[in-house]
Amino acid sequence: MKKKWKILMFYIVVLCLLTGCWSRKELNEIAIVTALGIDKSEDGYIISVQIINPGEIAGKTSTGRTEVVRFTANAGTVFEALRELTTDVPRKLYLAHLREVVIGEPLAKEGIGKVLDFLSRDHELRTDFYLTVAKGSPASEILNVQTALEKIPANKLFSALENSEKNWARTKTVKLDELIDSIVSNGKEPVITGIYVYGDHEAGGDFTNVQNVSPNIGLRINQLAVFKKDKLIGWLNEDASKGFNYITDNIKSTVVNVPCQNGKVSIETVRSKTSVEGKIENGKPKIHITINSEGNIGEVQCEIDLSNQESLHKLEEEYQNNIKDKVEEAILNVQEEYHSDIFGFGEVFHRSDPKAWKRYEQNWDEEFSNLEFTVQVEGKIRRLGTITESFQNETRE
Amino acid sequence: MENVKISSFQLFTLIYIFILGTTVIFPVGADAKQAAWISIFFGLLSGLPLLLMYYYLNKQYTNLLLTEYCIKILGKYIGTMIGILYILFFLYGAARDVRDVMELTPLFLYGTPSWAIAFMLILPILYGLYLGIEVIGRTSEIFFPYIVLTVILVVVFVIFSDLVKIENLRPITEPGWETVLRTTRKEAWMAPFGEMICFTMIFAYLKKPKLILKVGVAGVVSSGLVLVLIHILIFSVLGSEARNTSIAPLLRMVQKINIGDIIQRLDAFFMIWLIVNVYFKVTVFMYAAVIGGATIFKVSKSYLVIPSGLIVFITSIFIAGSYTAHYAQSDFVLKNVYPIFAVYIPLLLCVVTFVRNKIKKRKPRSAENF
Repeated sequence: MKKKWKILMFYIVVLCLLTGCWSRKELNEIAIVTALGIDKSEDGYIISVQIINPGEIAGKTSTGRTEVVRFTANAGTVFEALRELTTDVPRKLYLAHLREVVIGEPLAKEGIGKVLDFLSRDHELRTDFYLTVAKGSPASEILNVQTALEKIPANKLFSALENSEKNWARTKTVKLDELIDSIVSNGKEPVITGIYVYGDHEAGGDFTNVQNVSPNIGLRINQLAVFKKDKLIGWLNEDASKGFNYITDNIKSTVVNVPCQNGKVSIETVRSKTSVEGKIENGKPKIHITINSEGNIGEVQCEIDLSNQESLHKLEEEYQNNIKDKVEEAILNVQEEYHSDIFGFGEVFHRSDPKAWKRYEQNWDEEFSNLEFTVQVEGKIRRLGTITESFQNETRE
Repeated sequence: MENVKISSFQLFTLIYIFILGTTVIFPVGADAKQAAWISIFFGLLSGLPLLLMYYYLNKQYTNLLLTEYCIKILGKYIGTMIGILYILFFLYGAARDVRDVMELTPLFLYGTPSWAIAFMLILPILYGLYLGIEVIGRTSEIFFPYIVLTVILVVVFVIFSDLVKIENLRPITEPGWETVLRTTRKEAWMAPFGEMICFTMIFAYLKKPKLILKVGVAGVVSSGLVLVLIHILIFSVLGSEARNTSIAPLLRMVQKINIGDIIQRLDAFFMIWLIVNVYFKVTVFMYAAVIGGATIFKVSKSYLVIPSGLIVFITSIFIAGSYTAHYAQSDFVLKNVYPIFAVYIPLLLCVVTFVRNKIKKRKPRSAENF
């Protein structure tokens, strides 16, 4: 009798473990969303999702169907639109593997705050996706492009964003928390990298696009969108974008072109460190930016004797000036055109002098527009590459 | 009271886990913005006098529990009444912590009804209560290394994921000392440091009663500092805004851990850690209630285990209708009800014993003079 009790208890305990399967979702019942596009419609939002077609990605034989599928829906809120998609998508959308959120430019101009609420509230979403703004075309069109090399376009965007930030330094990856943080902060305004479709717009969704050696259409990221609070107010040009990355100490590696006698030298920045200090001088806030940059010679297109210290110093000077110009241009450009403190100078004051910040906080935009700043660049060239003197010197003679 | 003893280390581990409990998950002291961790630190400092008070009481009645010396000090009727109030308080505290878990787990087990989660949490707790304090102490001793290891891991992982931004902590004292202190009084003092009152029902089991103060202070200070450290870490990773608006900032931080795309998505792992913490916290609360009931009503503890489990289970479900209501209630209770049990009544007991001791001492002397 006692043994029977024990067995019964055992079964009851095992039964309890089944609570773990309460709301299970099997892999073949969910549709994995990799990219989410949000556009404005007249009375709400047009949501487009890019869903993986698992059979094509993982299967050994491809059946000739596309690897990803795009669906769109139009509803009053983001959440509602995602649910409305069930009328079109055969499976339940699963958002945990989202890599990319694309926001349409018109919506960004109107304000993205409302959209971000869903992204940070929903339990299924993680915060490790990147946000971008679709430039010149609706977000739904961005998701409609089949990319070569990467089977999943969202992955292509994801890695392109990471790589270009690391090696090109004119773009910036933005994650949700950072974005919300800078929207909320009074002393810092957000930026988001732009993304656009190039080539033949009609060809985007066509599967044959990726069967060309040079695809008719593609996705390219560039430029930074300037925001004020949650509204897009304009775009930085490429140089200013780079200047922005210098100021915010977001440079890992980049290329700097400096002029020399009838030609150019490309210097590869390999290390860069920026410190920004804020001081109140004569009752006026003042910013001091110090940049320490180290570079290697990447390419030489002129006659220059690199074994000569003198000419190397000259090159370093040009290198410093180039960086300084970009930084100053970026600040002046933003001060004049956008009056939006995307560099976070306000935060610098906020941290170093909270009392003074209280005074400036209310009309910081104005203060920022008239903010005085000094830039000091320390540039060093360390290595010359695998050859010292360019053979071009010989060919000229 | 049970006829068993626990070792100093077991008591230390129980206190350590108890303090971490649920406080480590929630955005405690959100009013103080980025200075919330200072509030918690002050909570720790102001929790030490309480501990001293509990120690003083225990020293007077080495082998008795709170409910027992309550009767000795205040007389049979008032003492019993206060004892019963304490039992209700402990049960309520347990239910509140179970509810905390019920609010958290849906973030992961979406769709699972929260009563099922509460049920699953309470079942092993009841088993622990049934077996008694000795077993509970031994269990916490076994789990302790894992809990410490997990804390170390989270710190290391977060640092190696390059998530820490010290500038998020600055300006440190912007909210002002007044706000910081108010937040301490409102939130960070009573939970978890005021909740240490539960241990007045456990101190008596210590093998070497002399060590109570040492072990108590060591436990509270070490885990209090870990608590402060984790909250500093959360602030430096998430920033004040995200930390204070998130329901579970710790988990949000853990989600961000990513080392070389290999070590990532550890949130489920840390959820287990939290459940273990909460298991011990609720167990200590319920043990205090059950053993208190056993001493007051003079029945075996085993009779009270299941009824109190049912009470906690049902209370945790009906305690509040929504997260917002639960939060508002916590606010009210921590400010108005907890101090009564954690500060005022023990203080009253202390004063009464102190005065009585003085009178007792004086009597023989006055007799001599006479």
